[in-house]
Amino acid sequence: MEEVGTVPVRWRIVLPDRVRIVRLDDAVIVFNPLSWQTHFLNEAAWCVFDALRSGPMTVDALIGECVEGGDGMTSEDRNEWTRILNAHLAELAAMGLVMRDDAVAA
Amino acid sequence: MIAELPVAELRRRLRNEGLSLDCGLIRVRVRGDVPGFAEALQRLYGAFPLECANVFHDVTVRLERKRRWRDRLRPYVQFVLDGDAPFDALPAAHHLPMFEWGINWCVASRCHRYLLLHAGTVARDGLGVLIPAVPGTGKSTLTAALTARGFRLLSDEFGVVRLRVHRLLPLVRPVSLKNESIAVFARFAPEAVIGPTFHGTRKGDVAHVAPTPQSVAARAEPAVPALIVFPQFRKGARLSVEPVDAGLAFVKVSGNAFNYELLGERAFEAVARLVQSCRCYRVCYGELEEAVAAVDELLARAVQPLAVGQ
Repeated sequence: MEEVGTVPVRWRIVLPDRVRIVRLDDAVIVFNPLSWQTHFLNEAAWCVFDALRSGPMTVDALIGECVEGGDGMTSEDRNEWTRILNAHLAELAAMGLVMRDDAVAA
Repeated sequence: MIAELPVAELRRRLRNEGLSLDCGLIRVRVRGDVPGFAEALQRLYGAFPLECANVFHDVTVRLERKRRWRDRLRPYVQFVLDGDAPFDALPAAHHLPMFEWGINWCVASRCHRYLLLHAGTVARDGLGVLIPAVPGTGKSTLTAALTARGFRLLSDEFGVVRLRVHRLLPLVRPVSLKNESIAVFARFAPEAVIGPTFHGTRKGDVAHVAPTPQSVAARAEPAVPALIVFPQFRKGARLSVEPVDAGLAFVKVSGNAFNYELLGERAFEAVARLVQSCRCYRVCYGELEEAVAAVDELLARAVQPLAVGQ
């Protein structure tokens, strides 16, 4: 797991109180109040984003939230899921919807 | 009504104090002395009331005759808006298309209190039908056809959505038809008032359909959005009607707005509310009569409560 010093990196929603979300059938559409851009989230990205709505989380904690059987998986599976979730987080970060906690301090 | 004014008096007004056109959303004062303009205006805006010129106008425009040496004195018409000329002049014979396009531009660039969709809008019994589309999909022809079969015209060009209150507002002006659709519509609705055909404009041949008196009379009455129809005209095609899910409808409607990015969160909320409160369909048609019947039926269905999963 990526760490800053000895503290695991946590991810958070940039403006959790101001981001606008609407669910339309299977689609989740999010309005970013900073960029004024509208984004469509697929099911996986929405799962990650939705989990972060309860507060900042590490990737490990996100695996527990988003992946069925996440608590008892092998280290190989965990590494694979870490890679997948990091990719989704990077996409959400590129949209300006989430950020790393250490980016706040920076 | 403007239709009752002697044409000589209409020309005099257009040369002097101007003619006031209350289109619902906006009131336009127009002046101009381009030959043929008064007659075309009277034919298409005939059902509009004669208004006092000393009232507030959202837009004041003038159609000026221009003669340019390089064009060997061929007459041109210039659209002048509040003293500025925002466009290149067009041949004088294209006076009315220039007027209509100019007013479209005014609305699209100024009326940002509302979400503006590129859409035809009609209503029946207070329920609005939005027909958003890109050019060439039969939006205007379908809008005109619905109006000819008893729907009230709100607008041919703009779906004007009042933010927060969630209503469609009328901007009643002539419906602009292009090329083959002119003859198609004339056959479909021989009783409709169609203005002169302007040949060889930048959009091809253009003619306008006058709004029905019923539409003009109700130009201050909003409608509740109930149905969104994405039209697709294909010559000879059999009618097909398919539901569009709300997520895709959001993409299509927001992508169709003139000022979505400008309005930001308010537009996001307005579009979300539109697609949540309306039933959305793709209607592919080859025959106007079939398309009108389909929209009629879809609107009747739209007022029934949504079933789970629909």
